[in-house]
Amino acid sequence: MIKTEIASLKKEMATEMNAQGNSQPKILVRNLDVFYGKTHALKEVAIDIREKSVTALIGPSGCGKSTFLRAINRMNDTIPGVRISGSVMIDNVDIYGSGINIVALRRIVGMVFQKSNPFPKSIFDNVAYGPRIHGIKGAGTLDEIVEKSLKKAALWEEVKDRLHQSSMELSGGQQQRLCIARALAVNPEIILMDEPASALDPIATAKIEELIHELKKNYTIVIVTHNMQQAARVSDYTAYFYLGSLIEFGKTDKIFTIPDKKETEDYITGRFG
Amino acid sequence: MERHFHEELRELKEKLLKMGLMVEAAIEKAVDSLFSRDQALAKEVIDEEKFINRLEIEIDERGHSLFALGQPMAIDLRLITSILKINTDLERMGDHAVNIAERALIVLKEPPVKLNLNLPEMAKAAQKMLRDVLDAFVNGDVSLARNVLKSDDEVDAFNDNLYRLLEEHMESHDLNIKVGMSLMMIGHNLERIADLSNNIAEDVIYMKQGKDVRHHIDAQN
Repeated sequence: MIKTEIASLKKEMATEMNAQGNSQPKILVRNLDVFYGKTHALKEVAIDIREKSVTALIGPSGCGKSTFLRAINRMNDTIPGVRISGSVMIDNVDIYGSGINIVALRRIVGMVFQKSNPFPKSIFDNVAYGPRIHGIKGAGTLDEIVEKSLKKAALWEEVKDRLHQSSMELSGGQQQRLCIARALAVNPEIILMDEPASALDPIATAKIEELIHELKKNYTIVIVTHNMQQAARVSDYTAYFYLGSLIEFGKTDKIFTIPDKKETEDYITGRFG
Repeated sequence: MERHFHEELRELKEKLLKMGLMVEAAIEKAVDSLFSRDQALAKEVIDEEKFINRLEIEIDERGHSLFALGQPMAIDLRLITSILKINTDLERMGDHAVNIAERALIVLKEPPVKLNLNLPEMAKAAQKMLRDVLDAFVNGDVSLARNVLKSDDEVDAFNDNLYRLLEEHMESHDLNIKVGMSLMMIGHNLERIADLSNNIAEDVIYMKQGKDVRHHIDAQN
């Protein structure tokens, strides 16, 4: 019997080693600098974000983590006085290069915010909003997209009988999952989440966290969170930012057990910040 | 809703069980190598120890990660703490299996011992303790764990008896000192395996009920 045990152990070890090399970088960031007027908000950030994984951005307020997140779908562009240099490549295309269609970019890179912000419309119309803008018509197709998106966002069972009621009647946690469904409806590849559970109670938070775990099978997720325990629970990779610099980036289990940098250790153990 | 953390915890538990099965098999082989005078079997135990060691490290690392990443509470916290302790005890038992195999190789160089020793019964009792305590762990069976605690005295008695018999036979020169000493060491290693099974039984009780029964503290209070 020990022979079969050992054989299966060897096989497991080989599979694990292969699995480590599987995930490709989806987002490649190099020399990224962001200035708000004279404030140097991000300093020469370089990072490889793996495909179909969850990357958490952590650090004290003002460290640049939200600025970094917003740089991935060019949300900083609209801020007056902003200056951005360096490159953010998604699938080898520099999203700050010339000829980039921002609308198309934001279809690929969806976003979910801290405060759920459903439109004051029906549940159905919220999810169908994006596809309609992108020219998808026909009740059958839209029905299908809405159902699929709500299922992916783990909300379908709770709302399938009241799709045409106002989204405002949903609970905070349900509204946040509706926003996730809305983001999924346009078939993105990357989902950015800015504190998606900070306004929710523990049960609703746990649901969002489980949803993130499910979604990473098909999407690349980057999440900003103030809650370090949440970063530990949901992410595969963690990036620690401080004063606009990326201090440390690595596998989450390493960052939270044996970080390389003392600054990271001080932050995650609550000795600083 | 099941948290994926619980899925990972279940996987860790399964890994520990696998570790237990490997250690159980190593002890069985070590003991068999002595009784069936099979040198190749003893060498296999020595050679395969590295797999147990590797699994120990893997379980430790995974357990530490789950502490850091999952923030376990209550039963989950007790389960991971117990898994890490049981892991250390199992690895130690693997070392004892190797010690037995090494001593068996010394004994097997000499002609068979024609004495009536209680070693087979003792080995059986120690092995049964390990098997039972692994069952108790898997099924969370507290009463089985308590039975294991009771069996420890039996193995201790076997060991005292073995020690006395070997001493007598060596004194009366009807047993080669080298063989006598090795058999004594094998007895000692079996006794340690029983002690470690005892530790695991205590961990199972703690894991299930949150009661610390080590050093008879519950009886003293």
